[in-house]
Amino acid sequence: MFNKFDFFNREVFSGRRKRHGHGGGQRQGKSCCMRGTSVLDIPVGGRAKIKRHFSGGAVRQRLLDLGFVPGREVEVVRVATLGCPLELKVAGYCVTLRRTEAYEIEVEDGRRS
Amino acid sequence: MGAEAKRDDKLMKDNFLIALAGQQNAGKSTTYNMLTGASQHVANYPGVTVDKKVGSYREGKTRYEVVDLPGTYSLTSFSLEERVSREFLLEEKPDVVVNVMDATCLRRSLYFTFQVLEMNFPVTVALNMMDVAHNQGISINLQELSSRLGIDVVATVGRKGKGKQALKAAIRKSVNQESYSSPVAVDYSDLEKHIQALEILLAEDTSLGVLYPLRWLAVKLLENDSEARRIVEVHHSKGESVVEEALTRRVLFEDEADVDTGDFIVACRDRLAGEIVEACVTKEDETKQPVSERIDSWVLNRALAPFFLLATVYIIYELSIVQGYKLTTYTWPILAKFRDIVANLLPAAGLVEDTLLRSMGLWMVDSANTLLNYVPIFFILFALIAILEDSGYMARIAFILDRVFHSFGLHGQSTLPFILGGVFAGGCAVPGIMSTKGIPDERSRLATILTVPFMNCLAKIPLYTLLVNIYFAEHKSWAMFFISTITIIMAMIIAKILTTTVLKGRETAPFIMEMPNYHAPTVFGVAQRSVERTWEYIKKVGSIVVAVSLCVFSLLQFPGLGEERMDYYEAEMNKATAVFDDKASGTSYGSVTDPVKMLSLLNFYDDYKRARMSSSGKEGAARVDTKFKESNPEFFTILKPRGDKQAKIVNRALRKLSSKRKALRRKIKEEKIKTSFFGMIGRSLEPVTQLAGFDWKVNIALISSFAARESSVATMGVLYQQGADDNKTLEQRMDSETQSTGMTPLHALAVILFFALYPPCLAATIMVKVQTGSWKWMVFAIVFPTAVGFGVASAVFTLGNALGASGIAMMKGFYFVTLGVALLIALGHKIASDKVASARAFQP
Repeated sequence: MFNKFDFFNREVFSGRRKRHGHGGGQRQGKSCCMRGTSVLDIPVGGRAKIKRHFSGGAVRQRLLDLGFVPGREVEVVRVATLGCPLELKVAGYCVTLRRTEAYEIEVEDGRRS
Repeated sequence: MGAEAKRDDKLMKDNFLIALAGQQNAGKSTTYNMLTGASQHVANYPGVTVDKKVGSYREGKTRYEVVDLPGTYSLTSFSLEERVSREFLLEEKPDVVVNVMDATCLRRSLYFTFQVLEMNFPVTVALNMMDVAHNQGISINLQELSSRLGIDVVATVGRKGKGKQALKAAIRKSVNQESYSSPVAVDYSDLEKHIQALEILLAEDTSLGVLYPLRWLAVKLLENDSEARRIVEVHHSKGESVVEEALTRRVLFEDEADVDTGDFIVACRDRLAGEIVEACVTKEDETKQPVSERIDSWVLNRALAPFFLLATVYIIYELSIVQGYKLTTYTWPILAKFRDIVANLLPAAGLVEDTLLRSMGLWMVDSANTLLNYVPIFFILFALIAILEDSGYMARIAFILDRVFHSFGLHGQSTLPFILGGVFAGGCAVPGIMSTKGIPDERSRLATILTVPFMNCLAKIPLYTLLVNIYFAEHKSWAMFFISTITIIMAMIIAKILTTTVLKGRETAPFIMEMPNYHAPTVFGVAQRSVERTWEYIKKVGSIVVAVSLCVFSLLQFPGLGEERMDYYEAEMNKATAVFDDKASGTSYGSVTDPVKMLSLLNFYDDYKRARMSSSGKEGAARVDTKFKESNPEFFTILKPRGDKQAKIVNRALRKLSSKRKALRRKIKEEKIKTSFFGMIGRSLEPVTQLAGFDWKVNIALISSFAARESSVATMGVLYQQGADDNKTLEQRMDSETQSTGMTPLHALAVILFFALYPPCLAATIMVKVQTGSWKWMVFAIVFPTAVGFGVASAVFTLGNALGASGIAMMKGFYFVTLGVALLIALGHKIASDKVASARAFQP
């Protein structure tokens, strides 16, 4: 599930921290707000079903056109060296997304990997 | 009856309009080239076509006009390309829309097809990239797909030109078809009743139905599309009430279904697309990892990616700059020969002064030659970059570097322009600025255009090497490292400044890019693009640079020397010829004292010397000897007296005369430049430029480099002339002169910094105008960097003087300060973006 070369993967660590309930940093509040889990909460290599979009306008349209349709499963393929952007796999092809946009996609909890 | 007439009309028509539409990177441009036989720039890089391109082909008497529309994922009014495509379809009403599809992602491509069908256009599908799909183990049942969609589907492989005839046949069939077999329509289930209700409302104004497809309008209204609203408000008599009705129905639907209407519409299309794909596509071996992904698991590996990137950059540098430079030793003789030919065609050299025509002609050839000398380097560089683009690695570089670029207000796709512009010493701003077309983010695009000229283009290198060799000889490698990295650091900082100030209000776009699959680049494609870009560069040399070098020449030449100065030089020359006459008249070669004959002897001597210099080996020298001997045996004996004693006397006198003549000519040239218009400008700027430590000579060199960078070194060569007689190199000459004038490494550092930040050369500023489409930006691109460059140079110089620091110390100091600033900006951006994210997180 995890890339063994993935030394810098903060997603993994922050995810763990959250589960242990003493998280810090920017993403602490996300899991407790009404939005639930976003794509950012999926560990690298993990998958989840898209629930809805919070982005608007052109970004939302582009995401929908690219196949980020609610109900579709999305996989986090990899993260760039500096943690952003992410490469997501949806409907059989890969799309890159910055963290700010990825955060606007809500996914269903209960992720599998 | 009416239908009959219309049919006849269609048959009579011999000019059909075909629109090529489809999603980004699906191969529209390749298909366009395949149909029209044109050679349009194609890259494995999303967003190559922004403007629409028109071409045509013939079939018998019928002419098919093909329009290549920009690649769009759908036909909304959110982005410029989509608006361009949609307006074209609605206004021009093409006879057939060829929907180019990427066979490897059929499902998503179908969304687009549904939208075009909804607009009631006859559609023919060109299912492109069938070979790639085949390699991925995807097989598509074309007949099933065709019957499900209710339209023709042709399989093509655009890159190899496969399916060309079938596609043409399908187009022919499609344009000649009178009634269109009913194509598939998307079922919007729960939304359907609202669409139908709106359609009825819209149909009340019959004029609207002629212009626009009603069902499409109804769907768009429910999507709350701004353009559709405008259409209805303008063209429908009760437009506003219809729009309002649509909005109420939209809200009503959203309340009922608890889903966004836009999302719902896309979901409906997705469902239909999914059904079709299910029925037509079989994928063997689902678990098999595609090749691209296997490569990426290494190349894009989080820890390894930077090393692959560095290796790629290093290979490019090594192959193009280092090896290309070696190639120029083979091409330079060709250019030198060209110069000789021109020199022979022009009027012969005068005794003290050449005719204006000769000096101007040679000046132009020289300036063109210095630029043409880089052609081999550019050819290799452009070929390598074409390979990067075609293979798909360029998009991956954008992926790796986006985070860095984004911190400074740029975009991941700014990578290509920067590489072309010469990130690692060697490139050209002109193709760099040209390649900014593909950047979807308007703000980043402008920032990229304005910062690409800071990169170290090839023409900047000679001045750098010159200055480094003189002033930083002991720290050569460090100085070169400083120069090649400081420019990118400064470019980043300036990009940040620009995007947070003047460019703040510009539209931005997120980094949503589809990762293309790896393709093996074809030899033909790479060669074609490389030739194209190199040709672009040569054209620049041919037109702008030569024209501008003419201006520079006149500014350096006029108003020229006063009569008394010329008289003085002529008297000096006369003195020298008198000595020669005195020596030669006593010999049997006395006839050479005749002024006309003497001049031709002098020129003969110079020509011979130059020919011997450029000849190689003993054989070459012998060949030159025989050639000159044949052309004038008498003169040749003087040049090579061998046993002839009297000829030896003349020979000695001739040598003296020749060197005297050269010295005088050089003095005249120097004085001319000093008193020329440029000299005046240079000297009048001295009080200001003193702040940065530039004297008038440097001023002139820097001003003339605006025309073309390489002239800076040439101008310096003329200005630092003392000692040229002793065959000293320019380095030595400048070195000895600076000891007397007190120029220090600190001065040199100021010049280097100014030169690095100096405005783009003239050709590049014209490119800025072309790409930004405004003169304002062009002027800005000239004024702003000059101000920044001068500010930085003055600050470093003044501070260095005040601190009494040496040039190398200031260089290091400046480097770490700018690096620190850049890192602070990056950190600031990170903190700011984290803040935004956490602030959003607590919103209910």
